[in-house]
Amino acid sequence: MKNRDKEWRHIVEELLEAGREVAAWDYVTALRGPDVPCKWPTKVVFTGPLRCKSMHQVVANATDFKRLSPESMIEALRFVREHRRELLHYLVHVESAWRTLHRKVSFLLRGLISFEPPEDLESWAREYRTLVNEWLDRENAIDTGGQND
Amino acid sequence: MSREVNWLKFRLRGAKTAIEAARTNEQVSLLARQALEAAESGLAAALLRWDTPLLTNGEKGWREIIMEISRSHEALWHYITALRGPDTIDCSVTAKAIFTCPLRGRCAYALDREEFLGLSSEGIEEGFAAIHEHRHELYHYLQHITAVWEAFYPPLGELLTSTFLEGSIPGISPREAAKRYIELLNEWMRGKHVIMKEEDHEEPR
Repeated sequence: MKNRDKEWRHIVEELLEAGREVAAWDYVTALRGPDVPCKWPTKVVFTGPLRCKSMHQVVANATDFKRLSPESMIEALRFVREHRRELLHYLVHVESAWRTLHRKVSFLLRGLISFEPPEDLESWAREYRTLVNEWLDRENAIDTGGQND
Repeated sequence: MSREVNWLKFRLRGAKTAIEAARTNEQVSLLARQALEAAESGLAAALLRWDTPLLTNGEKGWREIIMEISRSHEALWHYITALRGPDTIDCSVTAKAIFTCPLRGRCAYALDREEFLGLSSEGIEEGFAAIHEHRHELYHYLQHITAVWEAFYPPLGELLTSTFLEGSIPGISPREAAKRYIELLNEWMRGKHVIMKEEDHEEPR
């Protein structure tokens, strides 16, 4: 089953069964959206893919991420760039979750939350979407470094 | 222990004995023996656990809580979305210690219930007053905290909802609400079911 077809519970089970308890912790603590009031796309871009296929219809999930337009994604990234300080705690948790799931996404996020965020948000958005989709299309929740994909 | 549970335990012991006998039979193939060994070990573990007294909620870790409520999908969702501390900057440390840490139970790699247990009653009362002042900035976080308590222990959920999401209960200050919070939380921590049941409540003295 691809990650995009799993529920978040399956990801937690997979991580725990692999003995990755800290990774499971990083993952569950990234599942709540940001507390800072922000527009829907911000939550969809960062929380949506991690939730995979939601058990609850009303919450942002991987399907919403797939449907998100490039313009909405840029809008979300601009918001993040402008409100970096308030969103830092949330984004650090999101970045930690990706460390085990797909390291390249984690590296990319580190750039976004650094003191010098990328200026070319369009390129950043393209790369982020490609890498996140790579993970969503995998069958392993854990990054195996290219093995067993 | 009810007669049904006793009967089930008796049946498990019987199954374990039968599996053990089959496993030691020389005619059993290697593959079947391995399967029987696994089944026997699973039954032995179940029987061993059976006699272990239930942990109190205060002794559980987040993993045990998740396992216990895994079939209550809504409660589980409320729980895991309440495990991260607040993102907002004002009051986040206080709110995390008072509300997030007790919910996390025992956790070796993040601030856990010990953080809450280290707070004095006065500290919690002051924290409630400060959180009440910043309740609008903390609204999203507080919604998740109240939702989980409404699922786990409704009196606690109602207290937090009326104190922080609906303003305040007439006549009850945030400091008084803090005292009630400590009482209700202690009741939950002494309980043995995450989603509190009638039997978790202490007999009135």
